[in-house]
Amino acid sequence: MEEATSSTQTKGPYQWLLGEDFTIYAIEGLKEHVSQELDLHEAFNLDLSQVEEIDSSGIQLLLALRAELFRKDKEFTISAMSPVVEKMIDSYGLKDRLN
Amino acid sequence: MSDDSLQIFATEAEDLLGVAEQALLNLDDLENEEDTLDGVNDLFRTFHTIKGAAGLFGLNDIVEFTHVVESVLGKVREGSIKVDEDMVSLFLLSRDHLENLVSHALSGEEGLSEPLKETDDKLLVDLNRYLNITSPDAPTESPQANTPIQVNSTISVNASGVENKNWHISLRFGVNALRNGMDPASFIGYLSKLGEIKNVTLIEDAIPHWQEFDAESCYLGFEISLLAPDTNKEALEEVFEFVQDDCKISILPPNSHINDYIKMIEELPEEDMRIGDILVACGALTNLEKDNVLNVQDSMADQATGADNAVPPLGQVAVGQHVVQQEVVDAAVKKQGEAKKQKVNAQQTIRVNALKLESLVNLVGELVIGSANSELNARRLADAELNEAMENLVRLVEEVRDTALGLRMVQIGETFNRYKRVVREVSLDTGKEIELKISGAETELDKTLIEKIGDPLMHLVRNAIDHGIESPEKRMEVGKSAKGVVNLDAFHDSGSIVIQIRDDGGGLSKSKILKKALEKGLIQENHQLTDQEIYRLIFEAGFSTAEKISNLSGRGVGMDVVRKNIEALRGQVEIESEEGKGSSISIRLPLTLAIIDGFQVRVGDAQYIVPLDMVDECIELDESQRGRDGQANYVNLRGEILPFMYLRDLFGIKEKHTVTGDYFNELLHENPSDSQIDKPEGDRDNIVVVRFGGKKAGFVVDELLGEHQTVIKPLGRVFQNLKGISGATILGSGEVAMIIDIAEMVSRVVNTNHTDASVAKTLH
Repeated sequence: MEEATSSTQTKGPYQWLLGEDFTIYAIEGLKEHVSQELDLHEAFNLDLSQVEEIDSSGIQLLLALRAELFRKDKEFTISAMSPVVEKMIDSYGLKDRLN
Repeated sequence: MSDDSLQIFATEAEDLLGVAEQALLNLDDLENEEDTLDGVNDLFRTFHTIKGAAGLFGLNDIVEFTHVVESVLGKVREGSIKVDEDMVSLFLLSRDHLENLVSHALSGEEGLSEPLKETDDKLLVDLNRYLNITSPDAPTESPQANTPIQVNSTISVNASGVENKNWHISLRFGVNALRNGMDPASFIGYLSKLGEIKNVTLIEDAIPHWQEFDAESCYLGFEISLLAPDTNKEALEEVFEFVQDDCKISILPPNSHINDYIKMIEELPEEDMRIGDILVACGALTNLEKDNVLNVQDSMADQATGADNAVPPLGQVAVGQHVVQQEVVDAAVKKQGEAKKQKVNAQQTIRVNALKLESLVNLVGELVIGSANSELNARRLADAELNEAMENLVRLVEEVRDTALGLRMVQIGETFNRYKRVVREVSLDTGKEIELKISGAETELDKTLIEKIGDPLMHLVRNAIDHGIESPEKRMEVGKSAKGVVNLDAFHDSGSIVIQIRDDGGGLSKSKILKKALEKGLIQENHQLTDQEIYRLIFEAGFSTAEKISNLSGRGVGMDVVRKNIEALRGQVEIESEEGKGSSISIRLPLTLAIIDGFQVRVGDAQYIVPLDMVDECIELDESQRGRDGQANYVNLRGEILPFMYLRDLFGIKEKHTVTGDYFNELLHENPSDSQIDKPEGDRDNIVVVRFGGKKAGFVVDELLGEHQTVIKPLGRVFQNLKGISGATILGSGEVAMIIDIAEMVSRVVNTNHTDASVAKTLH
């Protein structure tokens, strides 16, 4: 799993580039990672273009994060999706919700 | 599907196939039934699991093949076919083939290779032979124990739009679903193979706040609309077979199926079924759903103890669980009610040979006479215990009598219902709007009566429609509703059964009747007639005031035949009418023909029986009230005028034996009920007050002798036309007693008194 590049400043969105594995096998680690960043930034932007495998736990994480940020009045955007991600989001009818 | 997961499937499948091989090889001792059955069960489960897993991954070739293997094993399990050497060999070959199929799937190649296909076909043919299917293509529908009926939703078109053609599937995954390797995505994928997914809505409400959020747990729910016209609940339920423990599933059929389900429910055979079973039988619920609903209901019951409301019915719970629509449940409840009624009726009817019934009734009649005889003799012995025993016996015989007679009783409702059809046809023919209202359908008549009354009744009903009810236009003109009503009622009244036909039509026109009667010479000019007498004229032969002769009536051959038929049954016809308002015809018939409760009286030397049903009371007249022989007499009965006559006059009995008072008392004392002695003159008259057809009359008899079970023996043909006597009976002593025809007598008394109008006037 590649390390995400974090912004050194608190301003500007936190750019999170996720790695290939966005499944339950990696999900715990992913959650850990973003948890640490949660209080440090006001906006989060996710780049999912590198994701090669995604399952429902990944989708779930996205939704949980989105909800959490919304509660904290923070921004949540997804800038890019790989085909597998897009496919799953489509099949779950989440196109509007996650864009 | 990712390669990784496919690999997992392949590994699993290989394990399972290994297990299967072992199990098959262990089936060496087919004689040992127990072991064999165990082995078969294991095999069944193994192949079933492989099939399910393959399904998740969309490996249709494997699914289809394994399904057939599973079906054959299923048949062995239920005992329809037996395992033999050949079958085991076939299974082994099938297992090998499956291994190849799995490897093939792993390779990612689409479609089977030629050799693979060939083997597939051949094995399927062999397997299907056990399933008695000759075509090489095995059915891909899973044949469940009770094959669910295919719902053809292209037939039912629901007006409220496309949405109603969709299945609604609700899913709420459990927390461990993802951990257990179940991914919602694969189920949705599988669903998309069965139809077109119109809409997916992901429910994220259950996802907790970030702190409590466990990324490896599953908090997802889905609401799915699926357009799948060629599938049924069973098939959809199967999709989720493997995740049932980790997901709450409810499958609601398309609204457009409601009518199909309801239709299916109505077509179910008339068996008494529970609501759950009815719903399963029509396909609205699967067995699994029924069990789930029962469980929910049980837990509701546990909570409900002590609360006011009882446990909600199964249908209600099912609707609450969103697995069936309310309309379908309503139809099921209705069906259940009908079936219960049928059951009750079916249980209570049994075909009996009419001759056997007749001989039974005859025997019962003899039994009644015999027991009366015994009772009489027993009383002579004046033994208390014997008397008590006899009382008991007589009572039992009475019950047997009533029950036996009751066997001949049939409800008149069936006859009445036939007329509905007549009314409908006549309405259409004549262009009149007519409603037939029936009441008293449960009223019972003797079977022979019903058979004989059918035609006369029919004629009267037709008359009411044809002549009674006016055309809609005419009715509106006079301020009536366009629809005419004909009432058909049946009820018991003082020992008779009354059938009434009422209509709210134009009523009888007295003037028209009189005119016609005059024409025909039935009456003279200036002949004074009461209304009743005028109406009675229509029963004369050839009489008809109908201007038009319609198909049905107006030929004047009807009414006189009707009256004859009714009188032949010892019945009477009465007419009431009001011009412009309507008419009412009442037919009065005797209730039973065979055995009645009678009241024994003595006149002179002879004994007579009065039907007890018609006896109102017995009174004594003192000297001052005594009437005059041969004339009309009246007595003031508590403010009512009661006409009476001496029975001996009516029967022309001249002689009268008399004895002195003391001797009389002695005799009376000795033989209280078996006295053949007359009262001494100067004693009071005994009047038996009877009631028939709303009229009361009194008959003076010499002595009242009490109740007597009367078996009616018909008089010989010589006496058929004897007025005043309706039959005879044999007393316990062997004597013959005549049964008085009260109807005739009452009218005799009333008419006699009536013409003596001056007498009536003096009695104020």
